[in-house]
Amino acid sequence: VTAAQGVLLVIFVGVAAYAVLGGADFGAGIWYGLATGRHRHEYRGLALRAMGPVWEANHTWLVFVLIGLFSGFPGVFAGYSRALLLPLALALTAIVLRGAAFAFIGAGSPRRWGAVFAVSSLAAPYPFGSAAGAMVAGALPADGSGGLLAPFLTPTAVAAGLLASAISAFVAAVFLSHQAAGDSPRLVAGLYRRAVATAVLLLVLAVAVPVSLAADDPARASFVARQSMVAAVVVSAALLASGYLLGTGRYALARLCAGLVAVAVLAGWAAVIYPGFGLRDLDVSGAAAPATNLRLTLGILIGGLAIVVPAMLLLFRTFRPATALPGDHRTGAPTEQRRRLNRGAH
Amino acid sequence: MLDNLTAAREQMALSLGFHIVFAVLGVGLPWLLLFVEDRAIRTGDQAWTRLARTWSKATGVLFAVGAVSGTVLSFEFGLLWPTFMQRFGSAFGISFTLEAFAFFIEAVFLGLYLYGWDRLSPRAHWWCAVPVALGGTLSMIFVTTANAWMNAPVGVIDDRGQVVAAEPFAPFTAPTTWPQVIHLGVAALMCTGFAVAAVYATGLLRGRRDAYHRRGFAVGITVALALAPVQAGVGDWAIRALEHSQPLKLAALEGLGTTRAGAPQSLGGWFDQSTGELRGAIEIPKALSLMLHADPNARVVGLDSVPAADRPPAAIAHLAFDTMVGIGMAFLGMLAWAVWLRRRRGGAGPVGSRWFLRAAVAAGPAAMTALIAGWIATEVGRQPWIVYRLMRTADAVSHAPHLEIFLYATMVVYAVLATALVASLRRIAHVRRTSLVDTEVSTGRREVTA
Repeated sequence: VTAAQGVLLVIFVGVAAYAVLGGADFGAGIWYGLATGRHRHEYRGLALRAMGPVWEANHTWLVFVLIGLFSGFPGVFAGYSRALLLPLALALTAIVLRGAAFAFIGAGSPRRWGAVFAVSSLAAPYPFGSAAGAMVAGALPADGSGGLLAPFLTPTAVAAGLLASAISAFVAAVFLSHQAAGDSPRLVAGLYRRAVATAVLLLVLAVAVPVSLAADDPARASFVARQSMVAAVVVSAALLASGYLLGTGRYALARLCAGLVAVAVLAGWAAVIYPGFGLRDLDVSGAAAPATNLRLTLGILIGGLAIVVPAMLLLFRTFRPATALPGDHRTGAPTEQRRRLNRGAH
Repeated sequence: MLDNLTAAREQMALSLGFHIVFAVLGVGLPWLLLFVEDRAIRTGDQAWTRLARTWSKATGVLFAVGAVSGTVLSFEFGLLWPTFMQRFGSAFGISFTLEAFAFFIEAVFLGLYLYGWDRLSPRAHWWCAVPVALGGTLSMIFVTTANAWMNAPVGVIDDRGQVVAAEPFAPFTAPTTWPQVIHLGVAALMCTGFAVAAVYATGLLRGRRDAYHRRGFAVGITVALALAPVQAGVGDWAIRALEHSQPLKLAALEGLGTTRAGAPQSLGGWFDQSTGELRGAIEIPKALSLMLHADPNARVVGLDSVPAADRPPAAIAHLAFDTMVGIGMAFLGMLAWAVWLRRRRGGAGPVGSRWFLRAAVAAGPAAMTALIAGWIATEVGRQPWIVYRLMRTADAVSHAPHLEIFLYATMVVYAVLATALVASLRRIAHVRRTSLVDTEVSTGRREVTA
């Protein structure tokens, strides 16, 4: 493994962490916005409670990815900045608005920031997914000559954009179930339905990405399908496992499997765009930093993660969801409450 | 329609000018929190606890806006200046890689701090603020080293536009690095101190003269004024560092159009770009030469030493520099006033003077103005280069169509955020007041029933 591959791997870890943890925060905002009816305030309260202590740390993975990319691969960073200007700017706008809106809601600001939070949470993952889809299609010129709208206007980009939103919503539904398990069976049942619905949507969209390429570029479509075959198997298995674990109340494991779904989708994406970074005519030899810098960057990245990851685990541990429902699998016999919950869920 | 260079520069100025306000508060507030929460734990005094809790809530909102506006900048490096990043991203990459981890630590422990008040023991909670303070300060140091490197780039081996080797720690060894870092660090603490003092001076002027307001004011104003003379010394150091590394920036800041022996120190005035002369300034003969070289007849480099295309826009740089220095001098005067009030009236001195409190209210925004003016002086003084003498700003900018649309969008979003932020901070101050009344009422009731 060269230093360049090592840095790429660490950047991928950052992308995966952002997709899971940042995605769960986007999804929490999506469910915040989609909550309707009598119990909407419970869903909203749950989303805000779950995000409160952790969202800033989760958000930091995005900064980590950007900085890792421009330190290690300045040419690639410049290529993405030129070719993906509009999707990056739109995602950024949504991220700024939702972060600020969340803080304003926390400080007791008026209700309209709730709407800003919900809409920008729904809007944030789409441009990222759309950009990733355009990279899968492999037709974006690295110098930006494709135009501002190029990363949006293909069927693949649309499918991938929706896929990113669906992944965020799915991961959030599973994560929030864990959070809700301590206080409300009704919420748990509602979230289970949401998780199943988004899981189905997610699968359809994941298949749609290579299929959407088939008409225009059959060779590329079969290449994409081949490269992402293993990832597709893992995604399917993790989705099933996550649903099963959720239905039987093993929330922590369900969370892990939901995270694995997002990571496997990204691994499939990475297998498609490696080693050309998904941009046409990118000068790969000039794209990376000088070797000395790459080795040092890799050392700092690994050393830094060795400090940061335990700190993050401490954060998650301190604010882990409160005790589970009575009748949880650990305590054995299902109670009436638990049976009601299961009826509601299935 | 703006051309791309103007649009990108204006957007960078707006984004940085917005972010720097939150960045300095994010650096300064955790240190002040460490002090007040420690007092709260040691004395058990409710006024200290209230200060810590209120500042904690304010820090939560300020940090959130600071974090997202900082993210904007890391995107904008690429979106606005792709050629700059492509060529030099690796040269100062180590600074930003380290910054990412400092920011991580800050964000993780801030989560623990903000939401851990009732989950952690008081001392464990206090300890959570230590990595927050260190992380914020280290972030500031690392980011500033990258900027210092752009001002005095060292350690790059460049082969026909391609960086083939870059000394990874060059940003830490650039000649302007440490003066810039320390100048900004002291500024961060001063701006935080003055901002806090301004808030409580307002309360004191409105007749809320309880221990909570008096102590909040005292903590802020003490930190800010005690650092004023330190900052004057550091500023002097920073100016001297320019003499060798960026003589043209020095000339622009001082408004020195022509290279001459026995250069005067000019105060105020407006630099006329068309004639290359400073108008309406008060000149102290030979003072600049004397200050820089300890020789009244020493030669000082002026703007005319390079072709017009290589000169920084001195009108803006000189005005910004004078604004910063002027406000700094006013702070020194305020320090002398505070010392005099204290000697004449005893411990309660400055708090007892309505005119001093009014000055403190004005000092809050004045300190932020000085901060932004100083930053404008640094950045505009570097022009027309993005990396001094290695890459022109005009060569770094994106060729994307309609770049000005992003500028307009940024203006709208930041205007909305600034308005909502002020409303949120006012609400936090207000909630604190009313909830305190509630606690007093409910405690009273409990005593009655007991």
